[in-house]
Amino acid sequence: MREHIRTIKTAMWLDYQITANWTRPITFFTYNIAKPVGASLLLLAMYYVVTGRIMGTMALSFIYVGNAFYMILGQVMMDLGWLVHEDREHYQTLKYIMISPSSYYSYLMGRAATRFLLSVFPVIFLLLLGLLIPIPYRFNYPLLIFTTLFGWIFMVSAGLLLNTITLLTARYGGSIGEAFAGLFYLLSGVIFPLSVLPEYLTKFALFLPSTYWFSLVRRSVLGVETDPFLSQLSLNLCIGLFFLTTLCFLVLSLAFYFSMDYLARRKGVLEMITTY
Amino acid sequence: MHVNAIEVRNVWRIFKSRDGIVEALKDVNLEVRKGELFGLLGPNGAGKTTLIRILTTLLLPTRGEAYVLGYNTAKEEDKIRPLINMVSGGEYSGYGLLTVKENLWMFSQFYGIPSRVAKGRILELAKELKFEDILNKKVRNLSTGQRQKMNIARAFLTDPKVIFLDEPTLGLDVEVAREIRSFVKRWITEKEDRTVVLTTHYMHEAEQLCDRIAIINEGKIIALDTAENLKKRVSSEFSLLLRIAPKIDVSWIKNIEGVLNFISRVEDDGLRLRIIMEREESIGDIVDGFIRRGGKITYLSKEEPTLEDVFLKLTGRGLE
Repeated sequence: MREHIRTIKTAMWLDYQITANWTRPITFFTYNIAKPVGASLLLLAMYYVVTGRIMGTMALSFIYVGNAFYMILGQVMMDLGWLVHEDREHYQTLKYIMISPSSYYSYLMGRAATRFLLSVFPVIFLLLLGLLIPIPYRFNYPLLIFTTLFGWIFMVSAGLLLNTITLLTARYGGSIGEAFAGLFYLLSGVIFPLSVLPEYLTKFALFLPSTYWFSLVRRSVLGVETDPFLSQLSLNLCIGLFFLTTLCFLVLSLAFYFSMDYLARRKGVLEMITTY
Repeated sequence: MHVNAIEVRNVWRIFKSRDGIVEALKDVNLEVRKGELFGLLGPNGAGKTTLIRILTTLLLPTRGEAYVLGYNTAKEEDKIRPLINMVSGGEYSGYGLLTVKENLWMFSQFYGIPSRVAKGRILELAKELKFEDILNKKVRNLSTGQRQKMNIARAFLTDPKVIFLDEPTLGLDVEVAREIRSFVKRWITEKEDRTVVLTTHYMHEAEQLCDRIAIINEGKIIALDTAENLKKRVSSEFSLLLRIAPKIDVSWIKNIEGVLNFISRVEDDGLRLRIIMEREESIGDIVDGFIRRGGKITYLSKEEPTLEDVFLKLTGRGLE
């Protein structure tokens, strides 16, 4: 376990250096916040154009909070999509990490953890900004902390699933990340209720941890779930289903990791250069 | 206790792609003793890197088995990885936004070396490999030679039992290549149980460094012995080096009695030839042959046999 923690810590450090080391910390954090804030303001503008009003509705709160927390999920997915390709083809370090005694899985967990943490800061800023709209917050802090921390496990699992696929692909890593992020955006009730989806997609959404994560986010930030479909679930059931689906994702990602690692070694693609 | 650091048994590696099937390794058998500096000598595409990839657990053999320190490379990679390391030449690996010191420290952490110990070792290696002045320089700003020194340090930092050096001096200037060779030689003599596997297509490098050399061509080991013994295979022969202008047909050379093999390389204004011969009397026939065909001999030299001549005799092609 000590080895895994050490690898995760080192990978987190590395990821921060790669992500933030191009400028001064203050510039980096401004950039880190400005990008998602811009996207949220754009969403508010669209809402205003469509509805003709901006203040104080529950629908806006649903959209605003869902969109703010989607920043974390979207960012982690899209960034992780490139990670294997970057290490393998741009930095050419993948094979040296692979032949080290450290688990590559732990390494990826560390890299994903930094992306996750860096995405949390803009969300805090967006929640503060929400006070001006105003969004009717009714925070349940213990639930929010649980949801955020456990969300990390779900996102790491999803990110690793994605990463292990890109071990075998040539140059579409980024696209796979965007596709994953888009899938979660569409099917997890981020900015519209699940009930508007066709029935078969609603059923499919019930297998995604992200569906319950966003529901728990709304319950912990707004104090209520306004999605007509998900509001039928009690809080405990929602937590249980989130826990269960996340566990399934974690097991699936581990199974995928070992299969893809074996396939990559069999095909000889761990040193493949295709993009750069 | 295993006497051999490496054992390769009937290893085949076949790559299948849309372009066809490539047999990169064909029934390779090999044993490298502990404490040995072992060379794999062969031209580009001979299968050297494929064999290294299998031994470093990055690639599975299609058939056969390979063992490093008694562990199977296909099934026991977790036991092998803490004991080995590798360096590849001719690549630009490393995180450009990190400094040299940070890059090295990071890799040391993947091997579980305590931070303070790692920092001490980095300074020692920097001193030995003469790159102390660039420790705080960002990797993106390094020259090819500096980057390769950093990568050499990365691999030796973990004090591996077996180290794989895949063309470590490829593309480096003479001085840096010499420093790296001296360092490798010093490193292996410091402790008895250290083993180095070096692939190269520079014959002088193999000759200078290696205790034993395996010559590999088209996926097969075609000879394995000490450099001295390999050269004895052509001791009754000599090589004739010639430069001819202009470019003319040279296929007739192989019909001359006493010529064992030859290679020709095209140059700007003519040809460069290396001919392995066993009869001095035939030199006149060769000179005469060129004059009759309108070729002008601009350079002619008779040389003692080298490893390249061994390779030429065995395969009919040059190393580079």
